[in-house]
Amino acid sequence: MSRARGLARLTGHPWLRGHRRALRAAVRHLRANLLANLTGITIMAVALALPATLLLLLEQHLALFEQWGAQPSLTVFMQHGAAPEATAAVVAALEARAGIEGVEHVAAAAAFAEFAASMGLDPAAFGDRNPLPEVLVVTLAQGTAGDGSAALVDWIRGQAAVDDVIVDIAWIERLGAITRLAERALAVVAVLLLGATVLVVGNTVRLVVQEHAAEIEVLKLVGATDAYVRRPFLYGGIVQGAIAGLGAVLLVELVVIALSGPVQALAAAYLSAFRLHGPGPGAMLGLVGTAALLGWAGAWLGTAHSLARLSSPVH
Amino acid sequence: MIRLDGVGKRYPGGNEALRNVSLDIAAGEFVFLTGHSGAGKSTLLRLLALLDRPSRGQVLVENRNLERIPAREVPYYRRQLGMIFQEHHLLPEQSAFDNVAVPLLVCGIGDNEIRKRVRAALDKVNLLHKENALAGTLSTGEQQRVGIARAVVNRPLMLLADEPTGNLDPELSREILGLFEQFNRVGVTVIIATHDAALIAKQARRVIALNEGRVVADTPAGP
Ligand SMILES: Nc1ncnc2c1ncn2[C@@H]1O[C@H](COP(=O)(O)OP(=O)(O)O)[C@@H](O)[C@H]1O
Ligand SMILES: [Mg+2]
Repeated sequence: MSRARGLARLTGHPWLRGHRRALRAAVRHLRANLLANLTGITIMAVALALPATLLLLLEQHLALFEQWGAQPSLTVFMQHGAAPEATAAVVAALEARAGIEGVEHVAAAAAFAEFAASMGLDPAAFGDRNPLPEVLVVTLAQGTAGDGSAALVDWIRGQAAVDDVIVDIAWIERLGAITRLAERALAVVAVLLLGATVLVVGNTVRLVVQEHAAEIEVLKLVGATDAYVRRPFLYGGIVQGAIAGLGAVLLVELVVIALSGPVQALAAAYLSAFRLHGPGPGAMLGLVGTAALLGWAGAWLGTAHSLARLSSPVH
Repeated sequence: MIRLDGVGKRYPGGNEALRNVSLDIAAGEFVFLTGHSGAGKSTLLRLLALLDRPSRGQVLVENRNLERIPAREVPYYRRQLGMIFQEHHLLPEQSAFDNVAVPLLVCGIGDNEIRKRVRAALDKVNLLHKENALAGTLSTGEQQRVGIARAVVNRPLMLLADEPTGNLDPELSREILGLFEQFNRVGVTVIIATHDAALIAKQARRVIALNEGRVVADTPAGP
């Protein structure tokens, strides 16, 4: 009983009551002007869906990239006939260095046996004359490609027992650079589109505020605070934004459905089981939340200017 | 209750609307503010409602210097006042009930309490039967009465009326004035700005006459 009374006191609190009334007024106004607001909501949904889709594709592209096991690595060829102790020393020195994930020693004899077997030859026919050198495959830790690896390559080349080093990381660096460029481009596009979204909402709200100028003047005359006047507009922005966010989720899903067939076919051609999938529940919620926040920001912008002008009513 | 001390108001552009006005109005008084058009009546009411600030001098209401009320507290100050205008500032698309409810909504009062107080206010101005009528469809006199109901619904300390009978015929004017007297009898301070000399002549009330922004006569209430 005391809990129920506490709840009643809470929901009956003037502050909460004001918010409830403002939200109701906003929804009522939105419903009454649905057609007029639909354009703005649609623009906002598209503006949100575009960067969201790009982000989704980029994320899954990165996942695919990692799935390939595309870690940067070096292939070290030892001198022909290098002493096993010299090779072991280089392996030990490499393993002790930072930024190295692992060193795999491909023994010359084993490699030759494998090679001969794959060619259908008898390794014994070659006697002792194994043409292959000892090989070390050095896997670098993720993110060490670039300047860090150049020093490492120089050090390895300087070892007497080492014949040559082949760097397998150039293409990975290129891919990484392209990915970073894509990320940056996406960020720029997202900022521009989201900014435009705020302006669209701001403009809509500004027009609505102007329509209600007489009402706002009355409110101020009878002692409404700026917060009170602004509140229904802010809720209007939040509700509009949330609806646009739901629309954007729907659009992203549609894009994924439209693309998933061709993507799967392409992946199959590369013997990959990769599948494009839509945003998860967290991402959907994030999108709707972001949209609501943008709607709120737009509404704030749309009311700030007009309210300042209307705040001291003259007659 | 109200004290003006050497108040001057100069509008941007150089118009001296008030010049060195000093006066005292006690709580519960009924005062007419009179003078030709342009004498400064509206300006004085605007200063009392904090719709504007004086250029010189001080305005005190209930011993509070209005100068010291910052912009963000002005709304709370206004809630103690009831304001009535010639061009009544109603929302024509909304019902009489909703118009009167606005000051209560602004204060965050609950629905039941609002219903009670709006009905009581509409009843006092004899318009309870029109509570659902849209304000825009009411006659001028009825609209003015809705405006009065809205001004008193918050149980204000004082009523400020600017030409409240300006658009009304003598009979309706009498009726409106009767309403103000009714509220004054229960202790509300009433200040009515009007240039309607005929209306004032029939009353034995205090009359403050303004001319070109100066107080030129202050006649105390008659017997
Ligand atoms: N907002 C304003 N800007 C400039 N001048 C104004 C303004 N309001 C009123 N005035 C001038 O101030 C003087 C007093 O006006 P007002 O207080 O409205 O007089 P009243 O209500 O007695 O007719 C007039 O000369 C009027 O033109
Ligand atoms: Mg006037």
